[in-house]
Amino acid sequence: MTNTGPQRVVRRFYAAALASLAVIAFAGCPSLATVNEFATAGQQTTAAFPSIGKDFPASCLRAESYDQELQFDTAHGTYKIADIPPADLAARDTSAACADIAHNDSAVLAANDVLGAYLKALARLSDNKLVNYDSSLDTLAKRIETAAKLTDSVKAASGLASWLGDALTRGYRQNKLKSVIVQNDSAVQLVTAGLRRYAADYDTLLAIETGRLDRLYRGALSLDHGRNAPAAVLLLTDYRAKLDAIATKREAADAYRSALTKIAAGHKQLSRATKLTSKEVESTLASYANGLAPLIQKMRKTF
Amino acid sequence: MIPPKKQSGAPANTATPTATSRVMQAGPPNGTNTAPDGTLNQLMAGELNALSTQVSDYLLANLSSTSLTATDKAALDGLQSKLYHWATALVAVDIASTGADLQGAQACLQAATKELTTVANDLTSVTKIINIASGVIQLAQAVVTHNVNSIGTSIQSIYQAIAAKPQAAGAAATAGTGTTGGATPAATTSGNQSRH
Repeated sequence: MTNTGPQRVVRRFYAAALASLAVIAFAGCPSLATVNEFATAGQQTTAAFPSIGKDFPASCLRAESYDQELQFDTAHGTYKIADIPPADLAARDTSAACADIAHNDSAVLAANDVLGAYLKALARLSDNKLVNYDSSLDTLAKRIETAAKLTDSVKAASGLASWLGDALTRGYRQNKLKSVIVQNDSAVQLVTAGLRRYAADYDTLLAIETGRLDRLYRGALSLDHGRNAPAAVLLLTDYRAKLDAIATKREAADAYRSALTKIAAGHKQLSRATKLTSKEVESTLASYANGLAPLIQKMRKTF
Repeated sequence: MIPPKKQSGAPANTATPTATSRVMQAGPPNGTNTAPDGTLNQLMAGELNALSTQVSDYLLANLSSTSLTATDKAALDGLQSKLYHWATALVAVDIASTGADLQGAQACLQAATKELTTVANDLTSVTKIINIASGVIQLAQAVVTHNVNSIGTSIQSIYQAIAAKPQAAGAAATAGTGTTGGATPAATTSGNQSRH
């Protein structure tokens, strides 16, 4: 059987139509691998934060105990090591400021967790999966609601939590991804800014702890007057180890702040992009995601 | 012998106009203003912590000095401790304004301010010490009244007082140098405490 001229034309037409359909079908299911990679890395960043958050009040209490361990002896005009049993020292660790820091930790940690839940939802949507129900979201929303005064960052986190609840109910899918990002960008910017500020507070707390450590060890060394060299060496070794531990924590807090900056910038980039799959977006997002990896590693290694 | 200090802040016995200008640029301590490198509360806390270490360093360097009485040495130790408490209270306020309960943290800061002025008021023997105390009291007042310019100049005057050479109180009065801002600790404290 030979093809006639008109038959060939019809076959060519069908072939072209099939090819076009294939292209359309492929374009309708774009690869959002870089969005997924970015959102996953962002979620991992927030997951590493609670261990840092727990050290906020702990740092305050350590500084407090260092301050109490060295007292000034007015009778002899010099320092003395306080003779306080550890149990008594623990009981004294109820400084109002430290208690206040511990009290306010909860709302900020909840804001961090909401950001994590949102990024997890983005990762699932970009992977063309349904946003599924996460029972911890109810608890998170309650944790935020219990805050006496909602500041801008916590309010924004509360807004993100409401959106997540809505997304779960409506069964959001990938085709909603772009509108989801645009809708939530201002909240993401506010939450990340608040968390960055919070991490800066941790850095200040660690600087304060360093100051207390300096006073304790230098004051203790001044008591020795170089008479007991081995004891002084042990004291210095301990002092240096503690200073190093604080320096490592400050680096991890700095890594968290940098990671938050990358998350905010990446999200902003996505919200402004006309096409999430454009080469430019993919390349920028990939660089953010790659940049997050070592920061997450640093945070995990320290805490 | 001593490991290098890793905290930010002023180097020993030098005035720090740059650190102070950062504080002055940051805006009023209302918990919402942000400067490029931190909020006013954060910057203030950093400065107070550095001040606390400076006072501590000064005391350590003068432990065997006879120009300071044992009472003054004890008061200086108390002062550095209160400066540190004040710094911590400011961090607590900052965290509260990110998180939730600002009122509790502010009450805590006011209590720390009150304690600080009381301790500063106990420093009496040497002009240098009186100047440090006077600067601290002015600083406490400036923070309570949210006077940003005054916060900057008070911090600067404290650093300058720490860097200055010790002088007997009587000699300074005769020479007409007086105390920083021309007020004795006792005179400023009474006005400040009435705010609490």
